[in-house]
Amino acid sequence: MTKSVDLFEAKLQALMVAGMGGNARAYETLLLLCADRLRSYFRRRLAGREADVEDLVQETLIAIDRKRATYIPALPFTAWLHGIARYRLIDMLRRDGRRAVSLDEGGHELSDAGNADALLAELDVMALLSSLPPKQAAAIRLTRIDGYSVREAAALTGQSEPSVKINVHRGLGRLVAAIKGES
Amino acid sequence: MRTDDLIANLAGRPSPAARPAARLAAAVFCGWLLALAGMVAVLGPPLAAVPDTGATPFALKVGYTVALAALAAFAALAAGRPGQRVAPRLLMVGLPVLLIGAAAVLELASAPRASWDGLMFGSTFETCFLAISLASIPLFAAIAWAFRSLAPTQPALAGMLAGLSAGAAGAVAYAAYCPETTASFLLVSYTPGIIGPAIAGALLGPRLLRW
Repeated sequence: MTKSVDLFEAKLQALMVAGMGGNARAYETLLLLCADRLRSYFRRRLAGREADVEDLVQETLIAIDRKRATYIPALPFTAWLHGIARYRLIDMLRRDGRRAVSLDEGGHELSDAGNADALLAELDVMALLSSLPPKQAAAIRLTRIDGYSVREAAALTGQSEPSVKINVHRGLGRLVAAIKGES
Repeated sequence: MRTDDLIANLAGRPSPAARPAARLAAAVFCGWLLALAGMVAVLGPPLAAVPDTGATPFALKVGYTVALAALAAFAALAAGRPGQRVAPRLLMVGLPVLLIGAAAVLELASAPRASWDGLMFGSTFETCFLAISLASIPLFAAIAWAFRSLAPTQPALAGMLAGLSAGAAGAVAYAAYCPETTASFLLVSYTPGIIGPAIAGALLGPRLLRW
């Protein structure tokens, strides 16, 4: 048992090292394996929230990609992956907590289980957002969906206030272009 | 977007050439140059006090603060890598403090009680505290910038270590001005200026170092 875990760890690590060296195929294989792992990791912690699980898997994959330079071969890959997954999970739960509070104040409009259209629309928006550069997606998500002010969004993302505004503007422009291009 | 598409998308892009350790080292160095420039502007040319204090106390101050800054930055780097244990490196930060602490205790033990205040606070405690605290500001900003290429999973801890590195590196710059000669001064008067930024960093970390 331990041996197969070690082998898996060694395999992931080899893929990561190859991927960081510019081997796109190794990197893709690695991300696919990570996605499986992440899915079961988040599923155990977010039982019954399948859409959130997949959202979080995607967010974490993006985080892995953006932060891959922080990996060094001296670290067990699974420990690195777990660290990022845990951070993203906590971050989502925190965002969720704040959103739940603001929804409660607004009178349960979206949390109403009958309102499936709104939830589906929300999922579509998330899918669209994930096609944007992370900074633009984050700026739009925070200011237009989660209801933060530009200032709060700037503090949360570490972007300056003007760049939050620019990212919202450019991101929305891209989304419009993408939707027009699709139809 | 489907997850598999996302993965194909991510894998198709060239890998970034970011080198977080080099970036952190460069940030500490640039922040330090800024801090030193600030001291030159306010306190005049550096090393003016060295002929009065002698080379040995100067070397001791530089050695102590450089060791502290390097070990703190080393620990901060670990706090920026997910899955890396920070505690062992955090303990190493205590090592130079322990050594100077031992020297200070010996120094105080062999001196009359009436002279303790002079040994610990000298005549420049306020200057020392202020100079190190202010010097840590550009350093902290530079280190926080370097953290953008890192991934701190415990932002308060990472912020604390970033602040500690900034304070200790600020103390390296001040060591070039400090006219005091005792180990007790190094222990008692340098520490508040270094701990202050560490506390500020711990408070700012969760806001500044999110990713």
